[in-house]
Amino acid sequence: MGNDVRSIRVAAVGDIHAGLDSAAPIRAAVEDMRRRADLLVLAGDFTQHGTVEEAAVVARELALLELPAFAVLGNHDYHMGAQEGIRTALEAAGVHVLEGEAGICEVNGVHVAVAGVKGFGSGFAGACGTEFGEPEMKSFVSYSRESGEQLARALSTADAELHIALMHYSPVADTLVGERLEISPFLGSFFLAEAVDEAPCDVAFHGHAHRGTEWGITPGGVPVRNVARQVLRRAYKLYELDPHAPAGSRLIEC
Amino acid sequence: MLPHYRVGYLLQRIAKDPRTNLLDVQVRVVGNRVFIAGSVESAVLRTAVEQVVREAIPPEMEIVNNLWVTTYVP
Repeated sequence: MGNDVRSIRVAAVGDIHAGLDSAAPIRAAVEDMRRRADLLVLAGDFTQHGTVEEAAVVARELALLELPAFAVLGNHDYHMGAQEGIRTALEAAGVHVLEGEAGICEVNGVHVAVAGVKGFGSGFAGACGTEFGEPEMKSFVSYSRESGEQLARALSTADAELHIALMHYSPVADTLVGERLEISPFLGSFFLAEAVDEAPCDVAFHGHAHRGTEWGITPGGVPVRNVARQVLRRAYKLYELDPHAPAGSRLIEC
Repeated sequence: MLPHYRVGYLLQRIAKDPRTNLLDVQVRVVGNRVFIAGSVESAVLRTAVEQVVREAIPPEMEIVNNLWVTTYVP
Protein backbone atom coordinates (compact mmCIF):
# COMPACT_ATOMS: atom_id res chain seq x y z
CA MET A 1 0.00 0.00 0.00
CA GLY A 2 1.58 3.24 -1.08
CA ASN A 3 1.58 6.39 0.94
CA ASP A 4 -0.36 8.23 -1.73
CA VAL A 5 -3.59 6.32 -0.94
CA ARG A 6 -6.22 8.87 0.01
CA SER A 7 -8.67 8.38 2.85
CA ILE A 8 -11.54 5.92 2.49
CA ARG A 9 -14.94 7.61 2.38
CA VAL A 10 -17.67 5.71 4.23
CA ALA A 11 -21.32 6.75 3.88
CA ALA A 12 -23.29 5.68 6.94
CA VAL A 13 -26.94 5.80 7.95
CA GLY A 14 -29.46 3.78 9.93
CA ASP A 15 -33.17 3.80 10.68
CA ILE A 16 -34.45 4.60 7.20
CA HIS A 17 -37.86 3.18 8.22
CA ALA A 18 -39.05 3.07 4.63
CA GLY A 19 -42.70 3.10 3.73
CA LEU A 20 -44.16 2.17 0.38
CA ASP A 21 -43.85 5.83 -0.71
CA SER A 22 -40.20 6.33 0.30
CA ALA A 23 -38.50 5.68 -3.05
CA ALA A 24 -37.85 9.28 -4.15
CA PRO A 25 -35.87 10.52 -1.11
CA ILE A 26 -33.88 7.27 -0.99
CA ARG A 27 -33.05 7.62 -4.69
CA ALA A 28 -31.79 11.18 -4.10
CA ALA A 29 -29.54 9.95 -1.30
CA VAL A 30 -28.20 7.07 -3.40
CA GLU A 31 -27.37 9.41 -6.28
CA ASP A 32 -25.51 11.70 -3.90
CA MET A 33 -23.59 8.81 -2.30
CA ARG A 34 -22.44 7.53 -5.67
CA ARG A 35 -20.59 10.80 -6.24
CA ARG A 36 -19.10 11.17 -2.79
CA ALA A 37 -18.54 7.78 -1.10
CA ASP A 38 -16.42 4.65 -1.55
CA LEU A 39 -18.72 2.33 0.39
CA LEU A 40 -21.97 2.38 2.34
CA VAL A 41 -22.84 0.95 5.73
CA LEU A 42 -26.48 0.66 6.85
CA ALA A 43 -27.28 0.27 10.54
CA GLY A 44 -30.65 -1.46 10.36
CA ASP A 45 -34.37 -0.66 10.56
CA PHE A 46 -34.85 -0.50 6.81
CA THR A 47 -38.60 -0.91 7.31
CA GLN A 48 -41.25 0.72 9.43
CA HIS A 49 -43.57 -2.24 9.80
CA GLY A 50 -41.20 -5.13 9.07
CA THR A 51 -42.55 -6.09 5.67
CA VAL A 52 -40.71 -7.41 2.64
CA GLU A 53 -42.61 -4.86 0.50
CA GLU A 54 -41.06 -1.98 2.43
CA ALA A 55 -37.60 -3.55 2.16
CA ALA A 56 -38.11 -3.93 -1.59
CA VAL A 57 -38.62 -0.14 -1.86
CA VAL A 58 -35.18 0.39 -0.33
CA ALA A 59 -33.59 -2.49 -2.25
CA ARG A 60 -34.72 -1.20 -5.63
CA GLU A 61 -32.95 2.10 -5.01
CA LEU A 62 -29.81 0.53 -3.48
CA ALA A 63 -29.48 -1.68 -6.56
CA LEU A 64 -28.43 1.51 -8.40
CA LEU A 65 -25.69 2.42 -5.88
CA GLU A 66 -22.75 0.71 -7.65
CA LEU A 67 -20.65 0.81 -4.46
CA PRO A 68 -19.92 -1.90 -1.88
CA ALA A 69 -22.77 -1.86 0.64
CA PHE A 70 -22.94 -3.62 4.00
CA ALA A 71 -25.89 -3.78 6.36
CA VAL A 72 -27.31 -5.21 9.53
CA LEU A 73 -31.04 -5.55 10.21
CA GLY A 74 -32.83 -3.79 13.03
CA ASN A 75 -35.63 -4.59 15.45
CA HIS A 76 -38.32 -3.20 13.12
CA ASP A 77 -37.09 -5.59 10.42
CA TYR A 78 -37.87 -8.53 12.73
CA HIS A 79 -41.33 -7.31 13.83
CA MET A 80 -43.41 -9.33 11.33
CA GLY A 81 -41.14 -12.38 11.33
CA ALA A 82 -40.11 -11.56 7.74
CA GLN A 83 -36.44 -10.89 8.44
CA GLU A 84 -35.25 -13.59 6.07
CA GLY A 85 -37.35 -12.17 3.24
CA ILE A 86 -36.05 -8.69 4.01
CA ARG A 87 -32.49 -10.01 3.99
CA THR A 88 -33.09 -11.73 0.66
CA ALA A 89 -34.51 -8.56 -0.89
CA LEU A 90 -31.49 -6.52 0.18
CA GLU A 91 -28.97 -9.15 -0.91
CA ALA A 92 -30.62 -9.36 -4.31
CA ALA A 93 -29.83 -5.64 -4.64
CA GLY A 94 -26.15 -6.28 -3.90
CA VAL A 95 -26.18 -5.38 -0.20
CA HIS A 96 -24.10 -7.70 1.99
CA VAL A 97 -26.31 -8.31 5.04
CA LEU A 98 -24.20 -9.25 8.05
CA GLU A 99 -25.16 -11.19 11.16
CA GLY A 100 -22.07 -12.43 12.98
CA GLU A 101 -19.81 -12.22 9.97
CA ALA A 102 -17.58 -9.78 8.12
CA GLY A 103 -17.48 -8.66 4.54
CA ILE A 104 -14.38 -7.21 2.92
CA CYS A 105 -14.11 -4.78 0.04
CA GLU A 106 -11.11 -3.20 -1.59
CA VAL A 107 -10.91 0.56 -2.13
CA ASN A 108 -7.85 1.90 -3.95
CA GLY A 109 -5.76 -1.05 -2.82
CA VAL A 110 -6.90 -0.86 0.82
CA HIS A 111 -8.91 -3.78 2.23
CA VAL A 112 -11.80 -2.60 4.40
CA ALA A 113 -13.58 -5.14 6.60
CA VAL A 114 -17.10 -4.49 7.87
CA ALA A 115 -18.17 -6.84 10.67
CA GLY A 116 -21.80 -6.70 11.67
CA VAL A 117 -24.43 -7.93 14.10
CA LYS A 118 -27.86 -6.56 14.90
CA GLY A 119 -26.98 -6.81 18.56
CA PHE A 120 -29.49 -6.54 21.37
CA GLY A 121 -30.14 -4.84 24.69
CA SER A 122 -29.27 -5.73 28.28
CA GLY A 123 -27.63 -2.47 29.32
CA PHE A 124 -24.17 -1.25 30.21
CA ALA A 125 -21.47 -2.33 32.62
CA GLY A 126 -22.50 -1.65 36.19
CA ALA A 127 -26.21 -1.44 35.38
CA CYS A 128 -27.05 -4.34 33.16
CA GLY A 129 -29.19 -7.41 33.06
CA THR A 130 -27.65 -10.73 34.03
CA GLU A 131 -28.19 -14.35 33.00
CA PHE A 132 -30.12 -15.12 36.13
CA GLY A 133 -33.67 -15.91 37.10
CA GLU A 134 -36.47 -16.77 34.74
CA PRO A 135 -35.76 -18.47 31.40
CA GLU A 136 -36.99 -15.33 29.62
CA MET A 137 -34.46 -13.15 31.44
CA LYS A 138 -31.58 -15.55 30.88
CA SER A 139 -32.54 -15.85 27.22
CA PHE A 140 -32.62 -12.05 26.84
CA VAL A 141 -29.14 -11.53 28.26
CA SER A 142 -27.49 -14.61 26.74
CA TYR A 143 -28.73 -13.59 23.27
CA SER A 144 -27.03 -10.22 23.78
CA ARG A 145 -23.80 -11.80 25.05
CA GLU A 146 -23.65 -14.23 22.13
CA SER A 147 -24.19 -11.35 19.71
CA GLY A 148 -21.15 -9.60 21.16
CA GLU A 149 -19.11 -12.78 20.90
CA GLN A 150 -20.05 -13.17 17.25
CA LEU A 151 -19.04 -9.57 16.54
CA ALA A 152 -15.66 -10.07 18.26
CA ARG A 153 -14.99 -13.20 16.22
CA ALA A 154 -15.96 -11.50 12.97
CA LEU A 155 -13.71 -8.49 13.65
CA SER A 156 -10.77 -10.63 14.82
CA THR A 157 -10.78 -12.96 11.82
CA ALA A 158 -11.22 -10.31 9.11
CA ASP A 159 -7.93 -9.83 7.29
CA ALA A 160 -7.94 -6.17 6.31
CA GLU A 161 -6.13 -2.87 6.86
CA LEU A 162 -9.26 -1.11 8.16
CA HIS A 163 -12.00 -2.55 10.36
CA ILE A 164 -15.52 -1.20 10.80
CA ALA A 165 -18.00 -2.57 13.34
CA LEU A 166 -21.65 -2.23 12.33
CA MET A 167 -24.63 -2.88 14.58
CA HIS A 168 -28.16 -1.70 15.16
CA TYR A 169 -28.05 -1.55 18.97
CA SER A 170 -25.57 0.72 20.71
CA PRO A 171 -22.33 -0.49 22.28
CA VAL A 172 -22.06 2.51 24.62
CA ALA A 173 -24.27 4.77 26.72
CA ASP A 174 -22.60 7.94 25.31
CA THR A 175 -24.61 7.87 22.11
CA LEU A 176 -27.87 7.42 24.01
CA VAL A 177 -27.73 10.85 25.66
CA GLY A 178 -31.09 12.38 24.90
CA GLU A 179 -33.00 9.15 25.34
CA ARG A 180 -34.71 8.48 28.66
CA LEU A 181 -32.29 6.72 31.00
CA GLU A 182 -34.89 4.13 31.98
CA ILE A 183 -34.82 2.56 28.51
CA SER A 184 -31.04 2.27 28.21
CA PRO A 185 -31.11 -1.53 28.67
CA PHE A 186 -33.36 -1.74 25.61
CA LEU A 187 -31.10 0.39 23.45
CA GLY A 188 -27.78 -1.41 23.68
CA SER A 189 -25.32 -3.54 25.50
CA PHE A 190 -21.78 -3.38 26.82
CA PHE A 191 -21.16 -6.80 25.25
CA LEU A 192 -20.96 -4.96 21.92
CA ALA A 193 -18.36 -2.49 23.21
CA GLU A 194 -16.34 -5.35 24.69
CA ALA A 195 -16.27 -6.97 21.24
CA VAL A 196 -15.14 -3.74 19.60
CA ASP A 197 -12.39 -3.23 22.21
CA GLU A 198 -11.11 -6.83 22.05
CA ALA A 199 -10.62 -6.88 18.30
CA PRO A 200 -9.10 -4.58 15.68
CA CYS A 201 -11.65 -1.84 15.09
CA ASP A 202 -11.30 1.70 13.71
CA VAL A 203 -14.89 2.88 14.16
CA ALA A 204 -18.23 1.47 15.30
CA PHE A 205 -21.52 2.58 13.75
CA HIS A 206 -24.98 1.92 15.15
CA GLY A 207 -28.56 3.15 14.92
CA HIS A 208 -31.73 2.44 16.94
CA ALA A 209 -31.55 5.38 19.37
CA HIS A 210 -33.46 8.09 17.48
CA ARG A 211 -33.22 10.65 20.27
CA GLY A 212 -29.58 9.92 21.05
CA THR A 213 -26.35 11.67 20.20
CA GLU A 214 -23.95 11.13 17.31
CA TRP A 215 -20.59 10.97 19.14
CA GLY A 216 -19.40 8.35 21.57
CA ILE A 217 -16.34 6.29 22.47
CA THR A 218 -15.82 2.80 23.87
CA PRO A 219 -13.93 2.23 27.14
CA GLY A 220 -10.99 1.11 24.96
CA GLY A 221 -11.01 4.34 22.93
CA VAL A 222 -12.74 3.25 19.70
CA PRO A 223 -14.92 6.02 18.22
CA VAL A 224 -18.63 5.19 18.14
CA ARG A 225 -21.10 7.02 15.88
CA ASN A 226 -24.88 6.88 16.18
CA VAL A 227 -25.94 7.20 12.54
CA ALA A 228 -29.71 6.94 12.97
CA ARG A 229 -31.20 9.37 10.44
CA GLN A 230 -33.12 11.07 13.21
CA VAL A 231 -29.82 11.86 14.95
CA LEU A 232 -27.90 12.88 11.82
CA ARG A 233 -30.90 14.94 10.60
CA ARG A 234 -29.88 14.23 7.05
CA ALA A 235 -30.18 11.36 4.58
CA TYR A 236 -26.71 10.03 5.46
CA LYS A 237 -23.31 11.22 6.67
CA LEU A 238 -19.87 10.78 5.16
CA TYR A 239 -16.98 9.64 7.38
CA GLU A 240 -13.38 9.24 6.32
CA LEU A 241 -10.85 6.66 7.47
CA ASP A 242 -7.13 7.30 6.97
CA PRO A 243 -5.36 3.96 6.48
CA HIS A 244 -1.96 5.58 7.15
CA ALA A 245 -2.85 6.99 10.57
CA PRO A 246 -1.93 4.99 13.69
CA ALA A 247 -4.55 2.59 15.06
CA GLY A 248 -6.96 4.54 17.24
CA SER A 249 -6.69 7.72 15.14
CA ARG A 250 -7.97 6.64 11.75
CA LEU A 251 -11.41 8.26 11.81
CA ILE A 252 -11.44 11.73 10.27
CA GLU A 253 -14.55 13.74 11.13
CA CYS A 254 -16.24 15.34 8.15
CA MET B 1 -57.71 5.43 33.92
CA LEU B 2 -55.06 7.59 35.61
CA PRO B 3 -53.19 9.89 33.19
CA HIS B 4 -49.90 8.26 34.19
CA TYR B 5 -51.06 4.86 32.96
CA ARG B 6 -52.92 6.29 29.97
CA VAL B 7 -49.59 7.55 28.57
CA GLY B 8 -48.07 4.07 28.84
CA TYR B 9 -51.16 2.48 27.34
CA LEU B 10 -51.12 4.86 24.37
CA LEU B 11 -47.41 4.33 23.75
CA GLN B 12 -48.02 0.58 23.66
CA ARG B 13 -50.88 1.04 21.18
CA ILE B 14 -48.81 3.32 18.91
CA ALA B 15 -45.95 0.78 18.93
CA LYS B 16 -48.10 -2.28 18.29
CA ASP B 17 -50.75 -0.99 15.89
CA PRO B 18 -49.82 -2.10 12.35
CA ARG B 19 -50.80 1.30 10.99
CA THR B 20 -48.05 2.98 13.01
CA ASN B 21 -45.40 0.69 14.66
CA LEU B 22 -43.69 3.80 16.05
CA LEU B 23 -41.50 3.67 19.16
CA ASP B 24 -40.40 7.29 19.55
CA VAL B 25 -43.59 9.33 19.60
CA GLN B 26 -44.00 11.49 22.71
CA VAL B 27 -47.32 11.44 24.51
CA ARG B 28 -48.49 13.60 27.42
CA VAL B 29 -51.88 13.72 29.08
CA VAL B 30 -52.86 16.98 30.71
CA GLY B 31 -56.38 17.09 32.05
CA ASN B 32 -58.69 16.22 29.23
CA ARG B 33 -56.10 16.70 26.48
CA VAL B 34 -53.69 14.25 24.90
CA PHE B 35 -50.62 15.90 23.41
CA ILE B 36 -48.71 14.02 20.72
CA ALA B 37 -45.27 15.21 19.64
CA GLY B 38 -42.20 14.10 17.70
CA SER B 39 -41.35 13.58 14.08
CA VAL B 40 -42.70 11.15 11.53
CA GLU B 41 -41.74 10.69 7.93
CA SER B 42 -45.08 11.03 6.19
CA ALA B 43 -48.42 12.74 6.49
CA VAL B 44 -50.01 9.28 6.34
CA LEU B 45 -48.18 8.24 9.51
CA ARG B 46 -49.08 11.51 11.21
CA THR B 47 -52.76 10.88 10.53
CA ALA B 48 -52.46 7.23 11.52
CA VAL B 49 -50.99 8.09 14.93
CA GLU B 50 -53.87 10.45 15.63
CA GLN B 51 -56.36 7.78 14.53
CA VAL B 52 -54.80 5.14 16.80
CA VAL B 53 -54.92 7.53 19.75
CA ARG B 54 -58.49 8.59 18.92
CA GLU B 55 -59.65 4.98 19.01
CA ALA B 56 -57.98 4.40 22.38
CA ILE B 57 -59.33 7.34 24.41
CA PRO B 58 -62.79 8.38 25.60
CA PRO B 59 -64.68 10.53 23.08
CA GLU B 60 -64.70 13.53 25.39
CA MET B 61 -60.88 13.78 25.40
CA GLU B 62 -59.21 16.17 22.97
CA ILE B 63 -56.14 15.39 20.87
CA VAL B 64 -53.45 17.98 20.20
CA ASN B 65 -51.37 16.57 17.37
CA ASN B 66 -47.99 18.31 17.28
CA LEU B 67 -46.26 15.69 15.16
CA TRP B 68 -44.20 17.19 12.37
CA VAL B 69 -43.38 15.52 9.08
CA THR B 70 -39.64 15.30 8.45
CA THR B 71 -37.80 14.58 5.23
CA TYR B 72 -34.09 13.77 5.14
CA VAL B 73 -32.02 15.25 2.34
CA PRO B 74 -28.43 14.37 1.42
